[in-house]
Amino acid sequence: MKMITFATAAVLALSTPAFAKITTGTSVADMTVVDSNGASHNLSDFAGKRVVLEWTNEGCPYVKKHYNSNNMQDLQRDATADGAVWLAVISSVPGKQGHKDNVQVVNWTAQHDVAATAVILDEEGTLGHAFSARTTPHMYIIDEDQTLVYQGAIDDNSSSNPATIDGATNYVREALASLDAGEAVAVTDTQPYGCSVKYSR
Amino acid sequence: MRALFLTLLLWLTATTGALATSSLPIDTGKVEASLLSSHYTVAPGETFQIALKTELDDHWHTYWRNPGDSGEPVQINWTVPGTVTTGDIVWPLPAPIPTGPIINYGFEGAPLFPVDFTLAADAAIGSVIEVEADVYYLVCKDICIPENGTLRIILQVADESELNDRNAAAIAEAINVAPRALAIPAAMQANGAALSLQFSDLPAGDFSNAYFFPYDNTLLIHSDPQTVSLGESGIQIDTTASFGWGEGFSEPQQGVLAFDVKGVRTGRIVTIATGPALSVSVDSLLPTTSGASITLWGAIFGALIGGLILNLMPCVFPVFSLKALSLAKSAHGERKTARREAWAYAGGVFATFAVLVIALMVVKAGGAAMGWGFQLQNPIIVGLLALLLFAVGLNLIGVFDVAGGSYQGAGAGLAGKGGLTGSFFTGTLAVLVATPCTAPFMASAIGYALAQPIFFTVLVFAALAAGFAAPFVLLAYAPGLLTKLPKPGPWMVRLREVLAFPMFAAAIWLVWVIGNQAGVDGMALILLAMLALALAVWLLQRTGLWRWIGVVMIVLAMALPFAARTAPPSGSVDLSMEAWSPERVAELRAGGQAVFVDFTADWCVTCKVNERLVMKTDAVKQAFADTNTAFLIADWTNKNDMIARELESYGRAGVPLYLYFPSGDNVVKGQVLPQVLTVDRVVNMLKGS
Repeated sequence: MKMITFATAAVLALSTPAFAKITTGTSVADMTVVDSNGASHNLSDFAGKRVVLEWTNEGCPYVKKHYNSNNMQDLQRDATADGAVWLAVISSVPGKQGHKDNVQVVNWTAQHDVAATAVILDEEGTLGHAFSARTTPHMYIIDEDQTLVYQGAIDDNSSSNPATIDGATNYVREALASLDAGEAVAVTDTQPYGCSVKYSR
Repeated sequence: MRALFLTLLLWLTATTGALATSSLPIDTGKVEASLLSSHYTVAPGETFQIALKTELDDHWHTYWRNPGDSGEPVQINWTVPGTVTTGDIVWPLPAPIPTGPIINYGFEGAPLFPVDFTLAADAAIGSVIEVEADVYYLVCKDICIPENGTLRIILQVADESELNDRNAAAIAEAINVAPRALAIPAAMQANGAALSLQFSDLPAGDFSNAYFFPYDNTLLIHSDPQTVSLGESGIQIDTTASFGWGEGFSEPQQGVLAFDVKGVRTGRIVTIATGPALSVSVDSLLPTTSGASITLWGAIFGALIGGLILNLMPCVFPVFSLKALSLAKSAHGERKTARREAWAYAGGVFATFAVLVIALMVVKAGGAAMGWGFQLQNPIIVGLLALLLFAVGLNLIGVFDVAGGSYQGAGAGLAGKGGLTGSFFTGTLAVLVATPCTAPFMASAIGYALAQPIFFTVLVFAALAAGFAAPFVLLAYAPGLLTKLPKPGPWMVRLREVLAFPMFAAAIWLVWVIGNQAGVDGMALILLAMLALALAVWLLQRTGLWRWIGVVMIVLAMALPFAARTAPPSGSVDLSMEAWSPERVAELRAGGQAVFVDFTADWCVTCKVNERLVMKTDAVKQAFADTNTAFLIADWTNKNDMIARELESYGRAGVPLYLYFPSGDNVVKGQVLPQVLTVDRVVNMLKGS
């Protein structure tokens, strides 16, 4: 488990006005973030790999739905076993629900058996704003060519009730399967559901 | 046991009345929920209402049927006897609830959710109607909590119905203020990211802050502002399309259009079909923006900051810094004097802005389409300004002195006189030379100001003046600052001389503007005027008759610009550029070509900077060629009502404005680009990425 902390102001080459939505099909190759040590992480570092972004907030009932049922962790394990990079992003500002420091991330991942490749601490909300992440969970899939191929909900049942996971269509799983089969992703955009991301005002 | 329970409840109904037509409230945590029934007893075949009442803790909210960017709607699952049919929730009017950049649609306080029920005509008299509601809602403040509970209410079937007056009145009131259907013509079109909605034949009300809440949550981006343009026969709302348009909307869409009626927020359910834009004649009236866009406070703040920044503009800085030095001189003498001078300067700034605003409003009231920078659309005024800058330059470099020849006069001599009057006119001068330099981000504040009632216009311009005058006043009052300024000395003469050159540069620029406005003749006229002025100030240093000739020369110099006449444009634009007209845009787009419109003016510094650094770069030129995008120029250097109206329709009062109409769409409004362009931004936009 690797941890990346984006503490200071991150600079995004992909400028998005206000809180406009990033368009599916957009290349994210130029998206770079500079961390507190001045090291720059570029999404192109992951070129050739599939990247799944998951916005999360441990206290959110909709996140709990998918974590307490192990639905999210199963998906993380299946995706990473398949070679994907899974980044769980926490955009909660300090003091708000879901915010974690490095130690808390370690505890959380151990306790819930989180199988993400890395947890990103996006306290400034820079990554969140770049992707217009609105809810937890809010899912994004970037293909090997660095193109955003899916964004939206994890599945088609927007309830917070874990009982609704059975029988729901998991959009992320379907999209990953399509990519595996060398097909275009059928459902590329869905309305994300859940709690709002706890950005600073 | 159950029979006994029901009997007990019926007995309660009989004895306590009102209590039994409301369920016992349950506290689900942040919400106290209960059911209210309009009736004690219901007659067969009759319709009655039961409402879910939710009393929310302060600042907590629940969600509308379309919760917006996040959240989940209030849900009620009814269990009723077979003799009862259940209707839909009558949703109250939601409010947009912002959380950071996220917008939700929901409710605070104690919203009521009424539902119609109809009892079958063959229901047995004396039987009971047991209604059970499983309620579920997500309630959020900083965090979200899903809460649920079960509520029960029992009514009796009787020959004659009996109302619970209080509940019935509360429910009737809730239904009355809730949005109801309104059949009016409405259409929507998406073009790329842009979404336009038109509504016509509107009921009475104030639609300047209208807002559309769609039922479908994939129709528009909830967190983007909705810009309202008021037309003669309706309104147009411009916002951003969401991904639902990827497959299009074949069915007409419903939603709630919210507006104000006598100060009360009101909603109507409207049905909108995808189709050609309705003509609502938006040209004639000014747009207003609701949602997350600029507010009065935002405009005031923007104007304040803009005013501050203006002090750093190349044409203002010399005036400001020299005045500051003269203030320092006073400080080494008397602090009181410094303060008086600072206020006189501020007075000059305010007075000049006041004159400009009054002039602008008088001209606007006269029906002419005008915007900020209008002062510079007249070659006579530009000519006089050029002369003024030239004279200031001559003064700075020491060709003539008005208030004594020594360095002590530096600054004080700038505006003709020393002391308080001098400071006042320095303020005037500073504003005059600042007008061509309006900082880019002031544009929206000024655009806002000009589109508002007079009171707000005055407020915003007052803020602009305050920001402009603030550094100077601050200098006089902050105890440390004044003494920190370097001591006056001979070096001030050198500085003063150096600062003359930006003035000459600014004058040259204005002469070039005149050249574009009034042709070579006009330009020559101003240069002659400058010659006369230079001769005049030289003569003024002499004595006797020569001095009088000097005065005559000054009058002559001032008179010359009035002979300048607006000349038709020379038509020497680049081959790849064409003059703008709405018809030309329509024509090109009909031919399937993408169109870029550059609203510009020679006196607009931002426009020129964008032109040099972005529009004329090879990368951008190549992108225009590659994408076969037409480049139209709307030149506002001279007054042009058609251009002014177009700017207004985008909420702007000035240039620059950059519009892009992608090919192959029939959107009404172009995409608006930022006022400060970058090469990447333009290229990416043209290439559609």
